[in-house]
Amino acid sequence: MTETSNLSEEEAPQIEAIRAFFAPAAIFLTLIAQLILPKAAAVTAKSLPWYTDVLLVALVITVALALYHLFTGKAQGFVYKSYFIGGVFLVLGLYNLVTLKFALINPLFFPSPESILNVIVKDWAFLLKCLGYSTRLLLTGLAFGITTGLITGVLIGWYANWSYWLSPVVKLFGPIPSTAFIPVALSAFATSFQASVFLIALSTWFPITILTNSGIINVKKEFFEVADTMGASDAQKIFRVAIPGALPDIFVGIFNGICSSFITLMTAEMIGVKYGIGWYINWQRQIMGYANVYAGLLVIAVSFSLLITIFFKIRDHFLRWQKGIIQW
Amino acid sequence: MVETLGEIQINDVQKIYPADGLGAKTTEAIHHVSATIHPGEFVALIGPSGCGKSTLLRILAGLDVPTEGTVIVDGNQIAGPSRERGLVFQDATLYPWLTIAENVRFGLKLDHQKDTDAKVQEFIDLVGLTGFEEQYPSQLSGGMQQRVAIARALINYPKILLFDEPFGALDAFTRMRLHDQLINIWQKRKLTMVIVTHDVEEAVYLADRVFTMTPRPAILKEIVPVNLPHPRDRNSPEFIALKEKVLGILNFKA
Repeated sequence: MTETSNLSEEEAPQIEAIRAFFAPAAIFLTLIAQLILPKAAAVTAKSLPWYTDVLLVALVITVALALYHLFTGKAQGFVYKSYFIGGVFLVLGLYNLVTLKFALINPLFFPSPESILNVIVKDWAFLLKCLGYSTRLLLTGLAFGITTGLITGVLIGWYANWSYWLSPVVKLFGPIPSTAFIPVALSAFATSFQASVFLIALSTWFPITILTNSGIINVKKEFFEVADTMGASDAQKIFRVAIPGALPDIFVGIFNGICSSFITLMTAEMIGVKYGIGWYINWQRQIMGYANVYAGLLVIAVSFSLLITIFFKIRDHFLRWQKGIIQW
Repeated sequence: MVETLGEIQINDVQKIYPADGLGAKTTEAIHHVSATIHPGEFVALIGPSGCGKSTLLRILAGLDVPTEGTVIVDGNQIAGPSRERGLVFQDATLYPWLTIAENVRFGLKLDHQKDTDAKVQEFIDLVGLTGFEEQYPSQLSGGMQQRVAIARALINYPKILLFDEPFGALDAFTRMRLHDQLINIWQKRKLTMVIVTHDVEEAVYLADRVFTMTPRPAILKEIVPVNLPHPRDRNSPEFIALKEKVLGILNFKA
């Protein structure tokens, strides 16, 4: 945000105008290449309008924003991002040339942008359904993993007796990638859904336990002594001092947990669970539907990124007292 | 608060820390200290580092247990920390995740008190931090943080307020301003105060009696009464004479 606000001070108006129009110019160039150049002979699929449509829409939006900026001086955020947006479309155009226009790489494994977009247009309902299945599985696993991770982390961090019995167990089982438990989980649970929930919870549980524990251990001793001189009970010291004090570490643990839960989710879906985005990708790979594989990857990228963004918003709310926390 | 209590009897207190490691010797932090601190009195414990003054204060707070001897507060032997004895550390140790108002309210929350807004405001006003209620500790200067710490301790109406080098990390001007505020609060609330310091001027400026302590052996060497009315003049001959007397006891004069 500070970068955007500094922009107007540092750059002269002309340079800023050029910057604003970089994105539309790059998109225009990409669009021209798409319209003028003929399709490569090796690409047998029939032509589809989606890629051209996307470029057109992007062009209209960016031109509108650039003009808006030119006349009002507003839309600073867009001007700041303009180089990046233009760069993205240039890379996309380059990929279009390499695939659709000249077929320099195998079109079977590297489908053109328009055929990937075609999957999203034609198959969106099913993709959404798969995403729904994945989300249900992931969130159930995360809920169990975060809850148990917090409980064990607090127990180990606060009570010497719990630490004595649980620490070795955590140290022994925690570092095992939870995907290594797949054979065990599949035979121990009645359904593959339950097994996957267990695996996702397991992969989330470990980092949260470790970081909650170390977070609590690192809370300044004086914080507890101050609470003592105000007559705090054990429970009050846990919930009003230890956990809030450990919260920055706990959030790092949850972040690590979420990241490893993504891996576990994908693996679980590719191995056993019916439906879900991971399952979709694996299924399409088997029937050589590589455009569908890429579309699935796109859906994953957007939804996982969204999930992490939501997580960071929650964290920023809880840690608003802290300065200089990790940015997302 | 009709009758203010807060009498502290220190009976032959000794503190020995066990040897930490092979071949290490046990450390005697306090070598048999006895004294009585009267209700509503302001006492300063002064001495070089290693004289056990902070250990003694922690024992008074109930955070440390004496190896031998007892501490009696208003007739009851202390067994641990209590709301009756507030403590202010050198660095304010405010909870960084709570706003100033929530920090001050902390003790009332622990006590499950309801409708505390007016009371919290009263104590924030008392230490002159009106307008900073919704700030976080990291947004305040060291001197302001220390005032919040004092308000946070005072709001529980302790009989005794203990300070462990509370102004050691502050600049000279802030320190002098806080001295006057502290005297003001002490005169208003009439509670017993014990301050640990290594600043002779601070001790003589604040205290009714200055307890001078020496290391090796860690004993209470002499009690110097300061019979000067508040506000005290740091440049008066009596004040300077008392400073020199304390310094003399601590062996800092030829």
